Amino acid sequence: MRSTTSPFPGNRAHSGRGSRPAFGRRSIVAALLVCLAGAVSGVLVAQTVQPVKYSRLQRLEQWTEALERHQPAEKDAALETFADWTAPEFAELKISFYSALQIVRDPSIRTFFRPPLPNGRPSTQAFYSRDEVRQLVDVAKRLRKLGESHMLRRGAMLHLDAVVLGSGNDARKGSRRSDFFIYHMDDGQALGQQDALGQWDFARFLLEQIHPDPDDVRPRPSDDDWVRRWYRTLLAYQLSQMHFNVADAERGLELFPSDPEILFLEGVLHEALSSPAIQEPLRNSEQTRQSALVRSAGGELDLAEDLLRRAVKRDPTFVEARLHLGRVLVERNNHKAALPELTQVLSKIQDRILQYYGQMFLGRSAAGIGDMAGARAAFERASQLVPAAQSPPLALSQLAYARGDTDEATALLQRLAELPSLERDDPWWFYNTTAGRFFAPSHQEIAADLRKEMPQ
Amino acid sequence: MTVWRRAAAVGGLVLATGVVTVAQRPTFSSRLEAVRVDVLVTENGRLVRGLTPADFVVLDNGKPQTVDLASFETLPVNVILALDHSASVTGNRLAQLQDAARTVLRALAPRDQAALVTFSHRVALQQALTRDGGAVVAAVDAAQPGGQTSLFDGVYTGLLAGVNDPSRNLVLVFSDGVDTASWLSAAQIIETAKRSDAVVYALSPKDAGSAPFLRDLAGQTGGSAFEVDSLAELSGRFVAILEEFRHRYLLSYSLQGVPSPGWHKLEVRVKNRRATVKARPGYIGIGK
Repeated sequence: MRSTTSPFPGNRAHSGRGSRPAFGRRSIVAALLVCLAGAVSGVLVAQTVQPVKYSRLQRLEQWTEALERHQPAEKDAALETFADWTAPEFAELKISFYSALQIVRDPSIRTFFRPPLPNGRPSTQAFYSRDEVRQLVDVAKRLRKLGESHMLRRGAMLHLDAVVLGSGNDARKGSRRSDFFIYHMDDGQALGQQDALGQWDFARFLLEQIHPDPDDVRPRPSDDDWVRRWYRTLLAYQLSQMHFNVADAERGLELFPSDPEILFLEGVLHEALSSPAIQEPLRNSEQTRQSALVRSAGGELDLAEDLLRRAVKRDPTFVEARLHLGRVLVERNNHKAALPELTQVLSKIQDRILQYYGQMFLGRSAAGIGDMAGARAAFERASQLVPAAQSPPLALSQLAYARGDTDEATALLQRLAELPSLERDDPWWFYNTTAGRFFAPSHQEIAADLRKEMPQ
Repeated sequence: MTVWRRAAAVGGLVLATGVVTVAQRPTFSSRLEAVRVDVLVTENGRLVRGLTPADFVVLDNGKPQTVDLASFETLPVNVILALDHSASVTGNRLAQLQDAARTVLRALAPRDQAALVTFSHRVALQQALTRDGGAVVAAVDAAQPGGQTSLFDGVYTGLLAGVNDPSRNLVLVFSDGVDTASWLSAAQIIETAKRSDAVVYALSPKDAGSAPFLRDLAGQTGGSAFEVDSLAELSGRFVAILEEFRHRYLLSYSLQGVPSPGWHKLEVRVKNRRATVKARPGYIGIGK
């Protein structure tokens, strides 16, 4: 049962009572995961014509072994299993695994179908030789031993860990046959793209098969709280790395549309997607924008506001959601709505960095309605909270200059100049990643839950 | 790879010992009694020399003003370099930018001053206004790039770097990317530029994300923005800009018949000639 003031596991910073969140001192390279194919399995037949080192059933066997050996949230040898896999091999795994899963559910089955297509079209049959069927049966026996839902959760954990903890995350050099690619950006400039294996997609596929009721095999992942927390972990990871995978994020929201944590993280994700660091590289790449499901800056802010409003409606005590809602309202120049939101939230946040954000946004909002004294007071409070931050003296200097006080404006810049640039540590630079600090505790929590069900 | 990088490795800027000059001089509000407008006068593409105060027509919010002074090549120049030092400005780009900065600094006259502001996500006044060109060159050479881009914060610092100095301020801005880290907004920088009497000339690579902002900024100050095909052009551009700036007239007049506060629309013409006059479109006055 989660606390209303601290909805994230083991993170005191959220409630405003704990230590400083673990952010800052980092530069961020952003990335978007882009899916090119609507019907992924539709291209697999041609891909498997390529000469391969391992057969599809050998790959399934390797995957099963990795699943059995991997300790959740630990960087072990099992995570290296996928280091030499190609994207077509990985796409083929989805089909062979799905066939094995059908045997797990009905050991007598010998007619296999490919995974259901996302657009509702009927899936086609998958064919295997007798030897392959025998291997499928063997794999299915091993998978059944783990317990179906537990096995599916461990599979999702395996791929989450392979991306998060494994070397080289999901990127693949030169596979050229992937339905996924990663679009890299840094400081608002496109760095290029790289093929991806599609591990997030596969993890999501595994979770889609979960049916908490053993007597009803119709998938119901939305009834599974571990799945909810997996998506929460995924969203926090995306924010911590500025490594966005909008399709998976949106699936989390579809499954858990009323969950304040999911709504909050999703809202913050879309707030981050509205930033110039993401929007600018997509300016000349409309196709990537559409494939990556990224809207215009205004569209992302609209969505962020809606999601954050829904989060605070579900949990009115969710102060960090209110803080982000306040900032989104400021960005949209809706200062009349932002001011009461920020004033209210500031009375409840004790964490120094979140207070800093709140004071800065309050200052901007106050200035937006012409309350320059209020703006000045807020920026001064922010400056006291983080004396090494660059933004408050700049904000105060700008206010002074706007009212004609050149001496104070320049004195504030002088104060800033006296602070060596390398000693400056402005939380504002890492605002978009702050909610990513929930990743580590959330990751540990879902791993601990899995370990409880694993033989020691 | 989409991984964290330590700021210590990418943000290695060292702030030089210089600080903003705060020598006493009339504050900006007093400018309302002595408004200064920097103008470029050309005819058929050629600079027009030898004009006197009587040759100019200045309308401030539509009211004719009496020009007291029209200085030409007489006042010293402050060149304030506001240079992007984010992570994208490395290798050859950095070398070309540094080369351009050194070239324009060498072109300064002994009475001129220069300052250097660099910006990544950190804004650093690497060298305050000084006549010691060597100190500015040393600051140019020492500044290390890395990190995100606080273009707006950097330009703001550049606009104010010479605000307390009576000379004419030329702010030379270079950025190759869009702002990703500033606290201050584009609108606040444009407003600051409207209050300042600095003239901004801005350069960016072709199709850079910063170009629209830089065009607006330069336009509001009566300067120009250029998009270059290659950073190899920067040295020549910097020097050409300095030369153009030297040949601008600085008009001065006492504000008459117009309330001080608020937006002042400016119109500047030359009598009896078909000259083209480039000047800021207006300024924001201070007062209650």
